Amino acid sequence: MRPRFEPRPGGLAHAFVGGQMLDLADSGGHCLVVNGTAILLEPSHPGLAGEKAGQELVCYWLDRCDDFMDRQRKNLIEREPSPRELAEHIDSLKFMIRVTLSLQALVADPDSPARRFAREMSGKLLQLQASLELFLNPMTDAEADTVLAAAFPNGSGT
Amino acid sequence: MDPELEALLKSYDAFMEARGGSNEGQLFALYQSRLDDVAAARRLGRETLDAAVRTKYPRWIRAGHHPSSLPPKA
Repeated sequence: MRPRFEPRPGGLAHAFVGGQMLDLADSGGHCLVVNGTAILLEPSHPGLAGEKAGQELVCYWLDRCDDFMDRQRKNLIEREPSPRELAEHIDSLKFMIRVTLSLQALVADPDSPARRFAREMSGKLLQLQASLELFLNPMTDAEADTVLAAAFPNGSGT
Repeated sequence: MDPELEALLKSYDAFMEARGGSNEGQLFALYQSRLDDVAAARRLGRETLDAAVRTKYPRWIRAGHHPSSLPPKA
């Protein structure tokens, strides 16, 4: 369930999440995560439409990245994907990385009000890039087992 | 399974399972730090060990290892 936001007099804000009101007074506009959902806190100065739009875009994308990682875990890691599924997922991953790189440039702009999301965007990019490395890893299972057996003589098997 | 290898896999899993963007960087740094320590102690190439751990990771997950918490770094 997506939260809804209610501007309050004086530029303060609150949000309704699961039927409960969270008081976000003096939040200054930021994202928080409730049950894995990125939530945009209302900017403290209503009327800055550009600022709000930028923050909404970044929060939306962070949310999409988390959804993508959840699907990846379920469909590509917890079970063996087919070659076609793997190829499609790698294409999707590359797209996610391209878009995240573009948004990272936006949040890195020193004049961007979305600059406060630089850490979050950088974290998601790191995770997406690591995912691509995971699926493009050229080492075979047999090679990995040989390396790990030599490195961990006390046991490397499952 | 060797406790150090299991700790490496759990560190990598904690990084991959982080959501929201706030902790991913810190968890990746923790994984890399563990990787450096183990590679040095076992006289292994860091990149080789990293590739082996990543290759092992999906099989480790499929084998039913779902860590409930990340062990503290020694």
